[in-house]
Amino acid sequence: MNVNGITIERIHDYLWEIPKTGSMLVPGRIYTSRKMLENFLAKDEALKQVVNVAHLPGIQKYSLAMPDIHWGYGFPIGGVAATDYYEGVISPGGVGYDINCGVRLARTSLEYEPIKKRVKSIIEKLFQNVPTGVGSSGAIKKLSEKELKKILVNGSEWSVENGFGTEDDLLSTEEQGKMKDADPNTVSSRAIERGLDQAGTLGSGNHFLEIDVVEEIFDHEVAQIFGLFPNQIVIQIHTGSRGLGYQICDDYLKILLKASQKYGFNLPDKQLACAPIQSDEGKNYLNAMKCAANYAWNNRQIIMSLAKKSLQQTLSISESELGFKLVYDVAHNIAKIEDHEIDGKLKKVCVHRKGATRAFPPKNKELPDKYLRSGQPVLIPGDMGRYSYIVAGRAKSMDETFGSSCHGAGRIASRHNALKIGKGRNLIEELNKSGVEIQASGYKTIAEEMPYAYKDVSEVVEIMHHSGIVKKVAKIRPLGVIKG
Amino acid sequence: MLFDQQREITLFSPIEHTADIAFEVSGTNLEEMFTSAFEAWQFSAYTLKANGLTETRHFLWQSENPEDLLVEFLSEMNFLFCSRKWIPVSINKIEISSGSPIELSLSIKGIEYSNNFINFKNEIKAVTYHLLEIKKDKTGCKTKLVFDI
Repeated sequence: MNVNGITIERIHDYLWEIPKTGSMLVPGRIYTSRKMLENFLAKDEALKQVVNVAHLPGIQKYSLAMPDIHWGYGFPIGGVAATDYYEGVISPGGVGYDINCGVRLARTSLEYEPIKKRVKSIIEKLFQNVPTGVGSSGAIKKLSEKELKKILVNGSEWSVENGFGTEDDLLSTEEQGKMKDADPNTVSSRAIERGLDQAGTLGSGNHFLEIDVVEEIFDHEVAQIFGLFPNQIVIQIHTGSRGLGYQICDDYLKILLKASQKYGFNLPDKQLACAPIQSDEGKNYLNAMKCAANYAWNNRQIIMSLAKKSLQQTLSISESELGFKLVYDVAHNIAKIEDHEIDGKLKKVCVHRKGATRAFPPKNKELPDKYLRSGQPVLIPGDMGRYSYIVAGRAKSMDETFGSSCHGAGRIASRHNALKIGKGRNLIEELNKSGVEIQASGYKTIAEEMPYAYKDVSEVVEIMHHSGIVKKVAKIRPLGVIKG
Repeated sequence: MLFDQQREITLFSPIEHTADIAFEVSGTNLEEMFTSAFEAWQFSAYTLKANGLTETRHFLWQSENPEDLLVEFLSEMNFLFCSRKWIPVSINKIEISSGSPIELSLSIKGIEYSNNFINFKNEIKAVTYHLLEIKKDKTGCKTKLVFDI
């Protein structure tokens, strides 16, 4: 089959391979369906980006893409690539501007029926308490530089020490909310400046805070381990490292563009700028990236605390009545140093996940004890009108995708087109009619983020499920959402 | 598409990009193209609700190629807007030298703002290198420009 001039061969119904040709170092592999190849991938340059990533020095096995793949910068969104830790490179294009953009899911003891008439009030209180939108600041008082640097090093631990959570929250966060060896000296003064007043802010675009109901359980045993039950009220938070992370990526793209020339890398795309992981440039980027990752985990921790407070305030219930607990928090824009089996040997690699989520299987030592039997919870948000999924990592993820899965639905319409489609329609009314309350900083954001702008996430999840990378645990439906 | 009658050029045209916002920007020369790119950034970032006290700031950048220079220029404008609460409003003077390195000298008017002055449109995370390649021909210069939002 030929898509946009690229030859692609079917491995099975949900896995396709771009053979290694020309100066590609490895083949490309895309988890997708024929329908998605023909309807979506034929329309943008994402497949070309899978080919480009295959040129990264030290890349192992395959340049991978998950089924929510779409056009990005350097890497496609949904791209995964592992490079040799000792001889390979690290690339900010494989992480993204929004370092540690990610999702967290918190559960409650509440059920839908008793609170369904209060959803609008809950959304209003959330919108009041959680800063959203462009230029938002002020969730907590503006940090001093000293305090911000503590967050860059300690991540979510800062929030727990300052009354925004518990030790248990740390256990339920990827990396316990703190990547070690984060070095604030590798972060520019501009990035520091941008981070001072954005802690605990949601941002804008596709970031959101959502109240959902558990609509369907697929695996009752695992759902029980995750603490999920039918008709349960849960909260999803999607945000990242805000201006601090964007600035770090920007700073290091410039540095690594020069480094790429210095080390003689001939790359097909400037946005794949990279440096050997063992070089000063590579180490500095990794340590700065860790700072941004820690900032993002702390950000989601603060917002979760504000969400919990908002629920208690609106419903006038106690903490124990609310039963608010973090299920898990996952990063979907990050680079991690991990051990993976390659050609029968355990090898240390740098796994770049750009719009892709870690999905470790049962018994993996990185997981908290409570999830050793179930596998890691993987949170896959859909658009704000339909549904999202909670799935669990399976052993095949380690065999095939460096322990990675998809991260969301994936856009199909540009923002420009989404605005055109929404013109003349009362989108808030449409969402309300489909049972979703919404508060947003701007109507434009609602139009850009409507369900018609996204793939159906259930199709994306089915591909990962049928490929054996993850297994479906639960489907949740939005009741209300706040957006920037 | 925006057309400037005084300059008789198309300033910028939106182009399709799945995740973010993208434009084609052009000008009869590099200076005009850079001005068009700045206006595409403004169009994406904010609209002014009211006028305020303006001040003029001066900048000087050097780079080996015009693409890097364009990214540096727009990134600085974005940083001032997002982080320093200073809106760049209009270019007084822009000069781009030839030679190596290329030099961009800019004099620009702006306003220190509070939220009363502006409507935010998009939070531009970054000015990217994606699709960025300045092409010159008889009519002038043009490039595609993508902002990550």
